[in-house]
Amino acid sequence: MLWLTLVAILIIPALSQQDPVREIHWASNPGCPDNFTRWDCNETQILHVMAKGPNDTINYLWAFYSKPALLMAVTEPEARLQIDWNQLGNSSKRLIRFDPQPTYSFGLVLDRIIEFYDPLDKADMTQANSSIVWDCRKFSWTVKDVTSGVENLRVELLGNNYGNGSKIGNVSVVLSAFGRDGYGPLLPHMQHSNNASQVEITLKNLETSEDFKSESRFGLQLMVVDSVPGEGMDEVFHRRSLDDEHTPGVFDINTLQTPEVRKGEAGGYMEWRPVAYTSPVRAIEESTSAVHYPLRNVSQAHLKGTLLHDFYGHNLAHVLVPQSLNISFGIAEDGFYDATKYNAWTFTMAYGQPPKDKFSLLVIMILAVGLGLPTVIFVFGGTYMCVKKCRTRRDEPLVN
Amino acid sequence: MEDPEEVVTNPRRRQDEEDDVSCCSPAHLCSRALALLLMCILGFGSYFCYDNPAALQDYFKHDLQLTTTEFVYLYSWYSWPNVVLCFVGGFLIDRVFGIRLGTVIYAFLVVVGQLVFALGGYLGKFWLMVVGRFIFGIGGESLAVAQNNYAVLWFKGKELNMVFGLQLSFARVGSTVNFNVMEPLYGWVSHYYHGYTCLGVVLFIAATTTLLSLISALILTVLDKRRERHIGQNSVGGTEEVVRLSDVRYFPVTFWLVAGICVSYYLAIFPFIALGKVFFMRKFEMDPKDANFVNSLVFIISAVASPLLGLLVDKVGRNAFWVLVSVVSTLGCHALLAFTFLNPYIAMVGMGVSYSMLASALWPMVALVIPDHQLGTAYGIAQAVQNLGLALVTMLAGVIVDKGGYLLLEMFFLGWLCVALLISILILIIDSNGDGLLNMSASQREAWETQRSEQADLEREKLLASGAMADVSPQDQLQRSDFHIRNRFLSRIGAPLPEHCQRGRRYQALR
Repeated sequence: MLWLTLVAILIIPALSQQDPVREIHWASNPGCPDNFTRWDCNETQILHVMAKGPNDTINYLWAFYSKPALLMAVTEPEARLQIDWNQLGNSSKRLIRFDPQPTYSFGLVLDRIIEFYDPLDKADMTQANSSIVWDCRKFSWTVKDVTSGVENLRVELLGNNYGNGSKIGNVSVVLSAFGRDGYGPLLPHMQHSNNASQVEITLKNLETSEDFKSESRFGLQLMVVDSVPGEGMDEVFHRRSLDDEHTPGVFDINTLQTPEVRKGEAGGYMEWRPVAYTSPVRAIEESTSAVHYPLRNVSQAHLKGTLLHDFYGHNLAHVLVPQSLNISFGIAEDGFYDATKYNAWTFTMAYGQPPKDKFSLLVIMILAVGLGLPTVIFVFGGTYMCVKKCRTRRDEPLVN
Repeated sequence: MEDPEEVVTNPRRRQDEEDDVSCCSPAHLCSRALALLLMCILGFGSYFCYDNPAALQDYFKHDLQLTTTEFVYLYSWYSWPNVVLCFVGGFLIDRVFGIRLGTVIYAFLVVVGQLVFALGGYLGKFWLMVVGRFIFGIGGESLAVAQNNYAVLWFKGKELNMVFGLQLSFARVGSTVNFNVMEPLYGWVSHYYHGYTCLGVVLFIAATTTLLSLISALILTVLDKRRERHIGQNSVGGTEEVVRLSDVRYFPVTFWLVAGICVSYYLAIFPFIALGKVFFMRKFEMDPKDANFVNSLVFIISAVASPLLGLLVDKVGRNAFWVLVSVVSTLGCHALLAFTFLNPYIAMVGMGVSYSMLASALWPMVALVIPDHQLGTAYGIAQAVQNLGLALVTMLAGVIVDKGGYLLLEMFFLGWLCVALLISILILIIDSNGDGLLNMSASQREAWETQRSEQADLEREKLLASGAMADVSPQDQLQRSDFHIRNRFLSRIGAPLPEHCQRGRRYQALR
């Protein structure tokens, strides 16, 4: 029957095999020597998070010196991290190494925040007449909170004191590492696999330029690179999903994927929904668009001094293909940034294949019961009716 | 209401009128056509303004900072007063106000309600808007009852069906015009005003249609006074539809099942249209004007298809079957909207046709199972329960959108349609267990009716002749199947019956 096949199509993906759970361990400033001068070893500027699985470990290196950098490296389960602390940021050699070498790595740097003037209310960063750059190097980044569990970790990072107080504004970055499939805790409840981390960037109370007369919007420039030589990322891929249970009213997902992922193998990818929230409450009424722009190849000079440069060394210049991804926040008639002075955007950064959409159990149950019950009654009722009619027909001649 | 002098002069005036049938005479076609037009316009304003929130949903939410949960209060508070008024409204018209004054009062309430609603928008006070919708609700539904009453007064017999159909089509046209006009209107007004002030001004402009309804109510009053003076009839002759709640005990199961469909089916249509615009904008990426147009497809199609399908169902019969078909096809349309990205025009056209089909097949079923003198109560109950369902479920729908998204909302509507499906299957089963009346074809029904009246006459003659009326119960008179009639006759003449036919009553032998 039709409804049986429909239910089967929906149930099978939902009950599909679950990936094994990873254990999360973490260390702050691992191996930081006592004579290290750049910052106090008690002040977390490098976080090493290990998501240990049976066959491999996903290592996240989150570094906040210079520009915030997020590195994801897939290694053997017992790989060790070595950091050449004293030369950090000052050499073009590979200062951060895993032993044995990672099979794959994917890195991201929060390069700059861009304020662009949008008098025509187009919400298109490429058409902006003028813009002002906030270089992420000029924020001072401090870890405010680390909450850890066996299967997850949450780090709250705050960037403020831009240019030693020359501009007012906070950038909050919440980093999460997950060891289990699931959905993000806050809207947009991004779906993640057990090989995933999540990044939430919030631009709070950034001081807009007076020249822009409160008609300006903000955007981000991210730098991405992966360990596969010669190949850059695929262009951002937009797909529509039927299920908006987790992000009510939003049916789109954007994916930045490496060619490996496109070919069906395991590789790095980023996923996000094209929404940004304009209030901590995060209701759909308080959302605006997150618009992405085509990838561009960039020079490795932008990554100098960051963790990625210390990890990849001179490969960055010669073999690997760093690219920039630009995202802007806003949509026509939303009142610009100054309406709420709050933009929050979330993306997942993970390894493997992007998680498949599946309907929740509730949906399946409603369909099963809702269509099954009438069908059953129809069948039984119909047979009962026929039987009764046959019996009545038999009765009549007897009375005569 | 008539003064004594007029009564005295009445006969002479009537004679004058018979000799001189001018265009101004109430009996003449022109006058009745004018009255028909006015009756249609009477309902136009209220239907136009009913769906104003749906046509401007995204502006309501943006300008007044409303969540979907709050937005739907504009609909549920329209329905709340009508849970009670469905009983009381008709009674008020018949006994307290009279048709003319009643219609004017209700039209006035509609105007006041819409003005308060617009004022609330202009000032940015949401609570005032809800109050306005409440007042609007008190007037709106009762105005529809008044409209029907006017139709019954002015038109009779076969004409009446056509008039009802026309009134309904006009109402649907009102809804359609609303969906297609409000968006451009808001765009124009937003050049001069902004935010919720713009919304308020737009709603004030929409209120002019209600003024139109009030004016036609006033003109109808004048025309009806003249008609009454000339024809001298102030109430519906024959069966008076009175609302008597004690009748409820005698309603058959099939009526409650039909009422169940009235509730569960319409719950999957009206709240969906209320929330449809933003759904189409977000899921199918339509711009506001197109989203409104798609939303209005159900009403546009219903305006045209309702009379046609009504004719079809009248000719062909088999109402219960058509109800089942409508429910299944609406299920299919909602499933398309929920589980595919297929062009929503297809699903909405399907929904429009199914909705018209169901309306044409379902409401006559009430008249089939309920005797004439209880029809008033029956329709009142069906409407009251429907409004109760709408009030509650619309609020729930808003919460679902906010918390669970549009897929879950569609699942919610699919759930209600599955309930309607279950009930319509039950109706088919129970009805075919009984006399099969609800699913007979038109010719079968005619034959059945003549047979029943013949049987009843025959029975009455026999029993009157033998003088044994005392032991005949009302139930005997209503026994319908051949089997039972033959059984009763045989037992009365004392013939021995086979074992398995001993079920049921043993009758006293006739002397």
